[in-house]
Amino acid sequence: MKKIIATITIVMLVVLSVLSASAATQINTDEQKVLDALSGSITTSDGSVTIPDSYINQVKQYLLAKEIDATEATTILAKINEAKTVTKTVPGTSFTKVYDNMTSATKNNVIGIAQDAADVAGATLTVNATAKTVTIADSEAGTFVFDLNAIKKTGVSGNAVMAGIASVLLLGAVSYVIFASRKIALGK
Amino acid sequence: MAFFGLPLIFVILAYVIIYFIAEPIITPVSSVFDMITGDTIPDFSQTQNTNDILEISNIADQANIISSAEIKIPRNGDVYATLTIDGAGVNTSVYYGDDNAILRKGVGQYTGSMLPGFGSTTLLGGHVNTYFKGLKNVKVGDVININTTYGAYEYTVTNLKVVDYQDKTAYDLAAAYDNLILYTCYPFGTLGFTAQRYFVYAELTSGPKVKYTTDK
Amino acid sequence: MHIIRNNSNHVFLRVLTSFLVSLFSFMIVALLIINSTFLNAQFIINVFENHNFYVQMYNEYSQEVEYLADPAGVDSKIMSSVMTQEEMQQDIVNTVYSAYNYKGAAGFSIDKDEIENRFFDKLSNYAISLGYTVEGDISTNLQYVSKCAASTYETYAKFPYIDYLGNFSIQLKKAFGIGLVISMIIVFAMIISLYLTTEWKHRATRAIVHALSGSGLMLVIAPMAFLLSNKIKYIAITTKSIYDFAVGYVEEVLVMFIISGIGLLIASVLVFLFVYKRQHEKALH
Repeated sequence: MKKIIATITIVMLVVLSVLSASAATQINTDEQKVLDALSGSITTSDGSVTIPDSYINQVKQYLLAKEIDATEATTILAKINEAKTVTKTVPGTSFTKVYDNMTSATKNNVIGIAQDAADVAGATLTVNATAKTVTIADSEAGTFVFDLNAIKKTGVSGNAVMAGIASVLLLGAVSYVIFASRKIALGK
Repeated sequence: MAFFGLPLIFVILAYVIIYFIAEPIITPVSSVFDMITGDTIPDFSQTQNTNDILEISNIADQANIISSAEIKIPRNGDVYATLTIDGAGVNTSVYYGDDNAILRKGVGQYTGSMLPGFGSTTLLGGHVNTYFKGLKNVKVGDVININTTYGAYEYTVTNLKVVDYQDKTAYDLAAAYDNLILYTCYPFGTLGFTAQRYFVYAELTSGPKVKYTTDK
Repeated sequence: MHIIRNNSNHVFLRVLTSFLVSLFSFMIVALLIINSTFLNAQFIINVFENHNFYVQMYNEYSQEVEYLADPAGVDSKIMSSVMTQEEMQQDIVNTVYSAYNYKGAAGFSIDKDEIENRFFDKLSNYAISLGYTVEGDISTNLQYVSKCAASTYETYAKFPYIDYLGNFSIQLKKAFGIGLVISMIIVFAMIISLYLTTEWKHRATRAIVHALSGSGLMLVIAPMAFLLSNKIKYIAITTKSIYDFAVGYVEEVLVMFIISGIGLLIASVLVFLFVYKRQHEKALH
């Protein structure tokens, strides 16, 4: 789920934090279950893929900055499974290829699942289509940018800031489609 | 009475009618609007990365193992450490995060890598014309000191390599041991954007391990 | 024509007609405002000018393009001096007008190749001044810097999603025109019917007063509530220039609704006073 979201770019939400750095916690058993679910292999229609290590590390550091209880973890695990069910119908043998092979409706569906999961944790997830990053903004833990580019390609991230507006509108457009499609799915 | 009452009734009726007719548009637009609005008004008065400059520890007698509950996880843009390589002329602040704004001010940690002491790879990048200018002078066996807010770490350089920036085999972010990777642009002294990066690999020789899970 | 006298059915019909006049009058004004704001390129330009957009946008672009300097090993001022604020302002304006008036490739587009060449020339001169020969790898690397810089400029000079907005506007204009005409016909017909079927003309005028007041309140209440709630200020846009524009844009549209509503309310008061005065004069005589 997170890797799919990772290829979608995210808007930085309320980037500047005037709060001091948060005290860390430890990763409890419920949070470890979430990490284990993300670390396992994910079945696609023609094989399996795994979420990149960088994402797992970023999730770890996010979970170190905030506490998730058993109820929240259970719901998040359900969302992860929901996303994994979606990817079973998508071909791809690598993380980014799975996303590229998704239809618009599937991408929108997965974004919606990811946003629901973030919402459970009390965070807001946004996508920056241009910079291809995912941001989780948590009033307690701070802002975490999920970025697949470990080694910076100099000069490319120039569009990241400007993409702020593009991402908001894209998010709006995507969310509209998600909402509309979910209404249809629910038979409303 | 009718002069005030009737118009108000008209308003209520009109809003109800408009709502019911336009509900297929109003409701999703309203949910979209909720999604693209935050809990606070954006604050543009500061620039990013004038966040906390966390106090760097100067620990003489530090414990071998510390709990993550005792330390402060840096936020994106925080200075959380200093990095020195004696003899190579490298002495810089280490920021959490590695966007353009950060790399103008110091060396940045890729947030997809772990903090020092957390038992995995710490990946730091910096510009070759500024804070990692001295990286070209580093030799195998040199000592790298990273002094964080929660502990002082010492690494020994084990390897130097030039690779393409897209070469994912140049680093292992899932490594199960504490190690440090520094990188900068290559070749040195050129102008423009290059496709190669100069990597410095080092292994941890001393510093507190951070226990961050509740598993025994 | 059959004159409707004042029994309860007739009162109901008069009130219903008054409500319909009110509702469609509100729609007429709302359509006119939308036509002159959302569907109007000049409105966007006015908002730019009212909210210091060009200066902010240029500063943000300059900072972003200067970020390219460090990894490239060049002076940051070299990067930000290639394109001027005036040029960016002109490009932004041309882009907006073009989007609202032309479909697809027929309109204005930023000449990225020309901008790339300008960056390359400036960088080459800088490299030569430092003793480099601009050939081989150096030339390729500087070309890449120029490409990135030109791309950055285009991102800032071309207002996000303006093509989409412009295209949407072009398609909507026709529908809005039809909606406007239909609403005006309905209002006109309702007013005529009101006067023709009501024996006491002052009652018909009173019904128009109620309709005007109703329209005025419709235009004021909801926009005022939204404006005072400040909800728009919570929009998650992290670029100051775009944020200020978005907030300013929505606020100016809401203010237009409110001012129009107040205008209708004043008109209804004036008509009411006129009717009251006539009634009073008739009574005296």
